[in-house]
Amino acid sequence: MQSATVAIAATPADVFRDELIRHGHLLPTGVDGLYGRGEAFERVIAAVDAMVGRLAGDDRVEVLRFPPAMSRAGFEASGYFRNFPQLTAGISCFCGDDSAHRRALACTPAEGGWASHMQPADVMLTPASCYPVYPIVAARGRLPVEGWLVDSSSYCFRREPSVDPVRMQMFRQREQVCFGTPDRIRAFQSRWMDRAMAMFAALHLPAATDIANDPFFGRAAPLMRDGQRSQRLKFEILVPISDPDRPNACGSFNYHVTHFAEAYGIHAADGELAHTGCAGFGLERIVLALLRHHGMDPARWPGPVRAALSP
Amino acid sequence: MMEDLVRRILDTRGDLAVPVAQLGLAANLFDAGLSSFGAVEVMVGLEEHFGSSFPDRLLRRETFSTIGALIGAAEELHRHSLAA
Repeated sequence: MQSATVAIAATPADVFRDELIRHGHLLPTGVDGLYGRGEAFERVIAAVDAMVGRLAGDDRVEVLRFPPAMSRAGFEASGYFRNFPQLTAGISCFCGDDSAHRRALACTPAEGGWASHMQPADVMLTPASCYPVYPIVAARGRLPVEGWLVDSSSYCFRREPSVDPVRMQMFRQREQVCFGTPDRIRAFQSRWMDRAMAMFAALHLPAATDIANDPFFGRAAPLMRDGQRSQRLKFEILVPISDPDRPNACGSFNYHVTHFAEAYGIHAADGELAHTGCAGFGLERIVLALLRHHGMDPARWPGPVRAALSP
Repeated sequence: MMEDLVRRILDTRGDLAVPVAQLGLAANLFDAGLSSFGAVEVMVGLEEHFGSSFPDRLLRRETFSTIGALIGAAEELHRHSLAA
């Protein structure tokens, strides 16, 4: 008897992920979007991170680094859960005594298992590396007359499991965060887009800019998307990575108007609400783009690309 | 009257920085302090009143930009609710 075989065509994302795993760049954990990183991958991450730092040139910037978690109070103030509940994740902890511990251990999977005995803690996973910056700057009081500039970085978490290695649940962002007047923020946004395009050109990656919107949740999404696009608040730099026909954002350049200033109480030197903006890079995505376009062995990438990464 | 309804929902659900009574039909509500969140609240308020959902083509910033535009949207929701 002949058995029928059904051929399921592998998607470009499947093929790319298999290749990354075969070369030891990503190590599967059994959860889509959550990977270990190999040594060569991490070396390129460090080089890209340093390259972004060099782009800042002579900017007077305060360097801040964060763990991948932030206070729940700081997270709540941002309004993130209102706009993006589908991406939100918090940390749960066990807070019981010995007997509660025994009940948790005895709890069967059908009853919810031990995890159902965990309580939400006062800690959330950081959705973007600029988020922990706002409460810190707000707590210092009014901004200097010339505004303020922060260089932040952290691992970030977004709950969007995908087989596409480009869409990770946990990844690193390097972000510049600008505080000041509308003119200052627009100039910052434009300057960083120019710098980023020069970086992608030096890395020989096919990059294009476009107006963009955030992945808002639910029925309000079309209205929020239209508001963001019609006011030209968000731009992205896109590079084809897993799928040549569906480029991914490797850089994001945002003008928040007074959203974060209102949320956290950030005021300019004259007492008015400050305006803010950020310019962020997805470090894993840039490395994945390099591996996609120049091959799985960084030692064999074109000389100018290697020179740009390690001058 | 539709204008009264729109003004009442803007007052109770919106987050304008000025009293809604001070705004004419063509005044820009976003300039008057309405936030994106506030616009969404107004949307929900109108939907609850008419028991009818905004069609996607009306879920644009422009629809929420003036009291006049909101009256037009409210009239459309009203027609939908009668037809349903």
